[in-house]
Amino acid sequence: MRFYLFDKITHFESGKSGTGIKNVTLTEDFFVKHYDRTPLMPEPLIIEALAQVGGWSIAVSTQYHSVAIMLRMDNVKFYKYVRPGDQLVLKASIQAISDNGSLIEGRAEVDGEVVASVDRLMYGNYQVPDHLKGFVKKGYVYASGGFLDRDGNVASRPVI
Amino acid sequence: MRFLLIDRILEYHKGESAIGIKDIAMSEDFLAEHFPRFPVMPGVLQLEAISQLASWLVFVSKDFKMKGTLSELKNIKFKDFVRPGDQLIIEVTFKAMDSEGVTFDAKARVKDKIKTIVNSGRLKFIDIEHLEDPEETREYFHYLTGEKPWGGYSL
Repeated sequence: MRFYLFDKITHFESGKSGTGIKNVTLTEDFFVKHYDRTPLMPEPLIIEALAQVGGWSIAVSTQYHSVAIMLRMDNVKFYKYVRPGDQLVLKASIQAISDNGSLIEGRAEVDGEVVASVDRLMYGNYQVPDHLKGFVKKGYVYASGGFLDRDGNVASRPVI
Repeated sequence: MRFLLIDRILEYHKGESAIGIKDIAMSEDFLAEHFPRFPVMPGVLQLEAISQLASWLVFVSKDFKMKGTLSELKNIKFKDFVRPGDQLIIEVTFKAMDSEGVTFDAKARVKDKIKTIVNSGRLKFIDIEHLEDPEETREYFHYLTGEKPWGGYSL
């Protein structure tokens, strides 16, 4: 599998919050042994998905000056199983951003019901050197359902 | 990747029609090459998803003894791209059934927008015993429809 754990960003408010969508499908490799008789999404991957949406929101809020890397988290709760066919709505709300780190609160929902939540998720902010900013931006745009043009640059609309 | 292209069956009417869901995720393996700068679900995989749903409908219509393998597709239209984050809703309608196989129409949409249309396809019946364990497949079908938790575990 590819380690892209959200499919697109549906809502984003710079410095405040980001919402993404993760479709859970039976083709995912983690369903092979998780489990043989009842496919359930592994809970840590729900948190990873939240962390990716949070990390995306932080990188975009800082105009790709920083890339957020997960350091620690607190009070993680799982309420319900997530199954194939579900559409996870991942809500990350940014509590603080500084040059060194950032903090978010995250919530994952299916059909309006909370399936997992994390009260505090702390990132270390890695400062991106200027010559790599364009490269980093492309990666984030691609991951969030954005478009790249024929030169691999960020495009505002589909090119095909 | 695993070749299970129907995630859930929303409703079915034996011998008539079925509606199913395929979620498209960014983690799908085929998006790595299709395409590196423009991730879209390959059209043929949509056809495979359609045929898998039609095959499930054969399975339930034929008292869990038969499945269908694709033998013909006519007049296929791919109207729009299907992208990560989309929830593809597939509708299959049986038109005519004989002893050899079944002909069907199908369409796939995302919300209200039609993405792919198949105007007449045909599945040939095949005995389930040749393919897989009938009991296990039956349990799996009930899991997809939500009628019974798979393996009998209540979640």
